[in-house]
Amino acid sequence: MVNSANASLEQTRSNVQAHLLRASKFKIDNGEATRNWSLFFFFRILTQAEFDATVQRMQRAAADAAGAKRELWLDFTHPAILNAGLVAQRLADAASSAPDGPAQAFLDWLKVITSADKSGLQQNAGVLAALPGAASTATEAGTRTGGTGLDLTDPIASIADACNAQRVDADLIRQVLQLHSQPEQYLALLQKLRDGSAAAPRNGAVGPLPGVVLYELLRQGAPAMVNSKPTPSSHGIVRGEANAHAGVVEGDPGDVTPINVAFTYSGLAALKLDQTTLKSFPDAFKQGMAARAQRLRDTGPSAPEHWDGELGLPSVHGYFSGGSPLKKGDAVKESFWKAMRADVAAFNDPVDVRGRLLRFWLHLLYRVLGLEIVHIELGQDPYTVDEASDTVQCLQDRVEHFGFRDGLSQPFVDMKLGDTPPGGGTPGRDGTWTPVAPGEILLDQFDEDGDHQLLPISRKLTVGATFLVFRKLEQDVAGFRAFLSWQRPKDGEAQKALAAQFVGRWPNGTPLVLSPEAEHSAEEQSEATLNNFRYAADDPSGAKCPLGAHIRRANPRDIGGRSEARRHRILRRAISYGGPLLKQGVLSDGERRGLLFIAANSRIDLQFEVIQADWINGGEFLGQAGLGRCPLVGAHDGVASDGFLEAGAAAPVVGLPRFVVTRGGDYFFAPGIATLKLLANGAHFEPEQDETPFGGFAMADVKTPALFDPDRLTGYGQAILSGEKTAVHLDLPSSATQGSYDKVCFVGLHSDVRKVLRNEQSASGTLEFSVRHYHLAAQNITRGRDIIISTDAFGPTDATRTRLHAILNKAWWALADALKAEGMDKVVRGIVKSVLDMTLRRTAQALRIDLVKDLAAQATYAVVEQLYGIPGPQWLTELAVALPFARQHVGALPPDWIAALQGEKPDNPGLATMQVWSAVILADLVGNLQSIAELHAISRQAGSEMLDYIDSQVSLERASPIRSPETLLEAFIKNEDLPEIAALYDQDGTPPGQRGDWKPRYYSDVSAILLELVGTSMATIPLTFASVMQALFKFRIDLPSLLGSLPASDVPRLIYEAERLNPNVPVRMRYCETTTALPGGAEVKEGEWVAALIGAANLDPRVFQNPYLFSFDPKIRDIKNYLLFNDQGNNRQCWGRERVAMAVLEECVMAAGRLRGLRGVAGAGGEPVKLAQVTIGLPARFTQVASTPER
Amino acid sequence: MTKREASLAGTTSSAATAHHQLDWATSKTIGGITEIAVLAPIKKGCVPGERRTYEERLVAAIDNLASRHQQGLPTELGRIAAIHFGRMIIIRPEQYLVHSNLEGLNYFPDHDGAAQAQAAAGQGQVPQPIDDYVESGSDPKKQPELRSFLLTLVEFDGDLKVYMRDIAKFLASDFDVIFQNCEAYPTTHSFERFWLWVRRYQINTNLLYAPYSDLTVVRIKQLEDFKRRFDAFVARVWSPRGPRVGAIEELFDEFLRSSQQYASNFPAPGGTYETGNSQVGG
Repeated sequence: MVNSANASLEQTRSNVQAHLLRASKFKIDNGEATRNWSLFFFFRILTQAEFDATVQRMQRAAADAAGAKRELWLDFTHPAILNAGLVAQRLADAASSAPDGPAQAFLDWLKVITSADKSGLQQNAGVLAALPGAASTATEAGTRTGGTGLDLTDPIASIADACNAQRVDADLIRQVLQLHSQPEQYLALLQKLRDGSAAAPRNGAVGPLPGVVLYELLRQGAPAMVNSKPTPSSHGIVRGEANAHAGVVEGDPGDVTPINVAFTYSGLAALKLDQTTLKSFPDAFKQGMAARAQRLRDTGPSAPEHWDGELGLPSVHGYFSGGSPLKKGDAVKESFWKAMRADVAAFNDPVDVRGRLLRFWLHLLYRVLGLEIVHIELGQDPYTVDEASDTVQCLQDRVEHFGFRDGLSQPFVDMKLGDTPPGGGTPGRDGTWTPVAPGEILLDQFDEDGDHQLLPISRKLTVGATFLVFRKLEQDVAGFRAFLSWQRPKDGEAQKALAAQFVGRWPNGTPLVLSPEAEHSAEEQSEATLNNFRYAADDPSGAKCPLGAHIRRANPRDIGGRSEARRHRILRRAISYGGPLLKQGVLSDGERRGLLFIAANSRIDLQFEVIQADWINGGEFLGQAGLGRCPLVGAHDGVASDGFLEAGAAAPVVGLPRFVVTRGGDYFFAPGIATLKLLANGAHFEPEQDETPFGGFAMADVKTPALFDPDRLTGYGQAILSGEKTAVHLDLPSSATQGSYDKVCFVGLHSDVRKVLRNEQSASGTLEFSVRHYHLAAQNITRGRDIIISTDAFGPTDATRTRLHAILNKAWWALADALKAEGMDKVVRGIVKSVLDMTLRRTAQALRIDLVKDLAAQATYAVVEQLYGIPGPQWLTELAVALPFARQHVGALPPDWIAALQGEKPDNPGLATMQVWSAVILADLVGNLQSIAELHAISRQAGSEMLDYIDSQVSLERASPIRSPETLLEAFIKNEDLPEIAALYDQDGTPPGQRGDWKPRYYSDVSAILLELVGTSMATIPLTFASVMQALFKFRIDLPSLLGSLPASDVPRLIYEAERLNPNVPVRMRYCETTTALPGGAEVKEGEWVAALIGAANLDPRVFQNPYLFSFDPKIRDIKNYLLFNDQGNNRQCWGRERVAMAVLEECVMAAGRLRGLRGVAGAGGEPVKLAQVTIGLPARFTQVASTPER
Repeated sequence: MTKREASLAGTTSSAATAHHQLDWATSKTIGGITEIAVLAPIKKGCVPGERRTYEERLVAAIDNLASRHQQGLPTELGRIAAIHFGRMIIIRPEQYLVHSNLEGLNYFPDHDGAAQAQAAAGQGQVPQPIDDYVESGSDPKKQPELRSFLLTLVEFDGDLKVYMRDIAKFLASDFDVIFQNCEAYPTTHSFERFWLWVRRYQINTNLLYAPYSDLTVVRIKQLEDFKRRFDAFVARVWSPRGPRVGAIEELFDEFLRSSQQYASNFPAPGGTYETGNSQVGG
């Protein structure tokens, strides 16, 4: 590795994004004012495939194509319907990077904002503007005829009209498509919006956000629009610190207040950065803030599963900021800002009706630039309101919502931009302050140790770069005041003093170290006195400023004697949100307020996280101990140990609640200008040869070889699908105690997998592939009985299979007969619908649901209970209690272990027990690829418990007479007297009168069948539903919106197609009974175990044309080819597939389709829950339950 | 044949045959804390009747224990209240053979003469992955027999033999589930045989660092509980602006009675600790 020379300060200053090193200012007339509001647009980068699909859709809508407008409306108004298969959609294709690469339009837009270079955008704009059909003649930005299109004379009004019309206007789309290809109109519109009042509130459903965003979009692109000869050094709206106020080359693009742009790790991955380079980013950044929740104490109410909107999810690829000085007039009206905040909240709410209008408009503007705005935040410095005149009154100083001056103490980074202010660096012994080394904030400069960051490894990425921490912190202002008044009743001064103790400063910023008794007056106070103090030197024991006070923790200055604080500095660029300060004496005014915390540092883990986790939320650091957590922002729970000791106090203030709750956030990488320009040109930042440490090797590369390792399976699948191999035959390694070798053959072609799974007869009449292992497992589970899935249609188990099928079918028909008024499908769906309806009503208020536990498992259990007639036991079975502890028997558990679980008793022990039995049985029967002995043992117990239980249910039921069966169990009993049933137990040649006692054998079969039905239903249906929903989340398909446009008859297609791309059981095993040639050319030898690679077969392009496409098109997706529940029309087809499983799954999908705004959960709380390899939980969130799927 | 190879093959002089007998490792002790490190070779090949190797079974057994602990469930290890920290690490030949030059072993190819550059950069030779599963009919060149090892590191209160006896008695089959995948493991049924196996594979530790060697695990838990009860007591009787209750003597006695000695269940037999109530009253 070459430790290349660091960048010069000058280089860094021209590369680091303006506003990061110095607080952002608005340029107003000839003066400057602190920026007092800001927009943050969180975006997702579209893939090229998504972009193409969107543009086609827009063009067709602009040409008034039938149906296209409705598609576009759905696409733009509903988050994430883009991939929903409304059009053939290319998904990530491992083989070619083109379709899932970032949309070229996005890179072109990056060029616009970083280099003022519109060439790419305009090329693209030409494509966009090329509209099909007759409508392409319309080019002029229309005069307002019939309220269509953008009206140049009053653009704001026409935007409002367009939004409020709630429909897709062809003229408007045409204009947006042509916006960037017509510079004169672009600039005219910009001018108009600037001169007119972009901010003017309008009557109607939407507020000022659409106008503000349009102005912002035009303003940000304007430097490019007026720049006819871009050079490598042209400045776009994103510009270096050194050029923050640089003019533009020609023309008047208006306001050029710079913006920032930064990317999350998933954003850099979406930009297709080199894999090695990507991996070289620091761990904290790679994991993202949600995954660091434990370290940051973002737990309880602050946990990522409760975060706002999309914050914390991988769909946030980055953010860019916006905002510029607004015209006087309307913009100083509180009604304007209130409407802005309402618009932002509506935009972020997936089901808000106004939100749809706003999303339609914003997506219309930004999708053509290759991005989807997924979330917006609006930052505002708090203010007060003169209610008589509805006027916003700015405060003298920047204050946060608890009422304290904020942003006072900042590390001074020595970029030769000025002198070090007191408190701005490391305190020297003589009372002077040494500035903080630039490398603490910027990646390409030397840090306090004279060292510099080696990660990420590509030096080209680090020029002028920094890492940004973004956190949305909600402040409970009313709760804060209430706590103060509870502690210091009826004494305003004492309350103020206690708050000052919490903070370490008085509200006006006077530090307690300098003035513990009272705040300085304005005259006594200067910027210098605010920060010119130290702790160890001026107040070593906390006599003035408590040891636990907020500012003493966040920046400990000289505490600890090792100048440790200098290694943990962050540059804060926070802005509040939520509008005006909460008026005194008011508990709530309907606003949620807090802080958009933004901080720059070069090492998130050593800087921000140390402050947040060890100093704010830890009580022992820098030689201090017993400090608890920060009284102001610590993650408290209101218990006795949540205390705070005031200066000089003997007893602590206890029971501190949490005044600040994390509502979202992430870690971002803010590249320097040169890097952004490279990104815009499609650079991937492959490491130079000397940049990869140790050749990229790591000890942790090594892993234990596993036969069913996902990487191995993928590798075999690829080798087979590519034709390199027909199959892979392996000899299992022998051990000292085992003489013979087992052999395993992996097959992957769809035709081969299908042949193997069918268990057919060869030409010579022998069985080719068998379920020998199912048979052994089933005998183990049922104490020697057989079940349908464990028998073959040919060979030794044939007769049993025929008998079991006959028994089951006769019962099913008898039941159908008895219930014939309805038909069995209706009966099944009726049961499922009513339980799903109940569940949705129950969870409607929680806005959280476990898709598997609450929907699929409940629905299936209802079928088991009501249709099969086997309600689960009233108790939690032994195995269900013991299994989480990896024990089989309760007796093996110490009593205190069981006591530890007391709080976690399931609501429905019958369901929980059935679920445990079923999961274990299925895991052993179908999932035990490795033939694990422990799993055989557990399933033997599960089977044994379950069979005992079912036997007892059958006996109970037999005791009462049955007239007309209402359940399958009753049908079995009703059927016992049928001569056909008795005949099934005829031995060869036995005369009918001498059958002996066949009933015990019949009921033994019945119990086995019921065990199989219950077990496979309870395990397979929820597992499959989990696969389907996970696939939809992964492909960012919004189910509620999709169902709105998909014919009901296509719901099965949706299930099959989603499951194809995310199979519930990726490998199924068979045993080769006779050496057999497979259609693909491989030969499987007698005695080999055959591992059928479902995952590979599902992607076989010979059968599923364009296999990575999520498609419902019957021309390329023949429903007969899906392998879920085995392919149709052969003897291995699952008995319950059409009778039960698909009906339940379809109803579950329809129910999930009623959950508007359905999405996954950020962080660890969103991981699927598994039991013995079977998914039993998949947490999700939603915003509203609709009465029906959206149509 | 080099001299070293010859000596390994046992073909040299009598000097090489004079090998030490029962020269066992000794655990290091600081204050009341003792360590043990055991480096045990893992069995080769597939578990009889299963389609997984002993090493895969070992990984599964450790993962199972680890995930229960991660979920916050009490585990069998809680039954040994003496354990401060414990770790299990599987060490594979591709790891310990970095920087080696072993005949028959495949190393990553040194494209375009990068080997020298690698050596210069201190990367050394890196072995390619050794797969236990080989394709039928392929005729790989004879590979040297290489073992993976399980390295177990534990720091605990008290004496090694007492600790091992507790393991044999209280962990028993839970312990066997893991170590049955190692060579020559006799199970814990017979403590004496188990003890001999432990000594056979114990290795010497070069450094044991124990900053609180005078505190046992139970003592730490008790002090923690004491502090919790103390906070609750203070919250009941005292507020920052003076006493909350008139006579605190009775409450103080109650606090003292509740926090000095525990008669039972600290920890309970399963290893869990009952803790004092810390809710704020009122």
